[in-house]
Amino acid sequence: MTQTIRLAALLTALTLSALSAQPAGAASAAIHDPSTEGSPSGRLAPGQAGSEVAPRERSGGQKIGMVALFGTLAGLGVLLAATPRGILREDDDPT
Amino acid sequence: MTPAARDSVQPPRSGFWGWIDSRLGLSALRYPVPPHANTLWYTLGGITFIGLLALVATGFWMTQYYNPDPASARASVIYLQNTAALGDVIRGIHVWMAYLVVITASLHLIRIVVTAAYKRPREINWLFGLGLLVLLLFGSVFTGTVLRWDQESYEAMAHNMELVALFGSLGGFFTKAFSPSVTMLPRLYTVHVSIVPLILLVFILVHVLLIKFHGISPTTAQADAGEAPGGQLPKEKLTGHYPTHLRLMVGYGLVLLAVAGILGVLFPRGIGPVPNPAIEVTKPSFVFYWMYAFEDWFGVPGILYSAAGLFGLLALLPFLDRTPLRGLRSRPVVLAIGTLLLLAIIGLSISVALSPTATHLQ
Repeated sequence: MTQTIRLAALLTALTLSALSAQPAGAASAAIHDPSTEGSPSGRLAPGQAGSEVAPRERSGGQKIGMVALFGTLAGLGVLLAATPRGILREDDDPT
Repeated sequence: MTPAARDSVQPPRSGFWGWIDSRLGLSALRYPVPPHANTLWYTLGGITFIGLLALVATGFWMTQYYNPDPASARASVIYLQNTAALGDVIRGIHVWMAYLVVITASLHLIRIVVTAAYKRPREINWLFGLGLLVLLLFGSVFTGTVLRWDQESYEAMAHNMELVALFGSLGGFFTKAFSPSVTMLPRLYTVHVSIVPLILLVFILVHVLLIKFHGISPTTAQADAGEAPGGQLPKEKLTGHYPTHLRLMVGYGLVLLAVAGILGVLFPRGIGPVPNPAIEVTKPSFVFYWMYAFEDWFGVPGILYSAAGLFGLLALLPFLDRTPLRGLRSRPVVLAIGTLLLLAIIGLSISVALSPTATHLQ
């Protein structure tokens, strides 16, 4: 149990540090530029659909890291649910 | 025996937890549980609650990036999804958890119907639980869809406006005319992040307090054998381990969180095109597909007919099903109608998933 928690903590730290690295110039996204995005303003011709914005591309390694992280979390959850009564230091009263 | 009389006095605890408990009184939250409550089937409500906590936590993060101004809303979601640190992971968990919570809440509801736990004395708690599901679907998932402010969001909002028009003056709060000084998007944002969560919180508190008051419902076999007079199990039957009950909820809740995270990684949600009011080209989220089928048949009012029909029938269930026995074989009408409704919802959802989009808006 303790080793699983340590492994989970290590995986979490590694994955979060890899994921939170922002690309250079990231802040230059057009978030404050209403001329490029905005409300239905009739800029599109009737009957014309605009284009979708694809979700952020993550590398294969990052995806594997995240799936491993969440997989470890699921493992911890199963371990917690399956731990027989009495192993955890809980109040053992049946009520 | 009253529920209060069933609570036994616990001896004072020592150590760290004893120190905490003597100051916060956390042990007052415990309640006696029967052994059958320590199964996945009987912890679906708690699992749903943990899913809701995850939605609140990820929602806190997302509010720091989201701008409800219609001119910037979609761009802020794009920034959150594609640029902000961990934004895609957090949003992925939030979006998928919203769907998963609807599924676990629905499974919880099915468990209640199968075990006839809506019967006396739990009729009012059934209504609060049903109210929670309705709030989740139409208060949280629907408004969350609109906040993205892409083509699907705009069409969802347009459906909302047409539906509200059916209510005439009764739809006041949900119309543009109610508050001309603020556009609909920031108003729906407020509904999504404050009004609905507060109502959900009140409903959850009442729901949990009533569970604590009535105790966990007996099995159908126990009830039909006369072992639960008044629908409540006597103290000698409440031999389940309460910490195990909580541990199962937390353990399965962590699994639910992991599933949401993995789905978010493997199936990230993009953002649709800039909304064009002149077209109708999207379908709603899959949890609304069964209503979309009725919309195909009856137009936009079909959404109202189907939702009012299903949830109205469910609300009346405890008052229509007056059979004293709880086993499913003793309730053939409930079994038949329940099975038909479930098959219809699944069948219609698959049918809508496979069919092209249609135009419904006037």
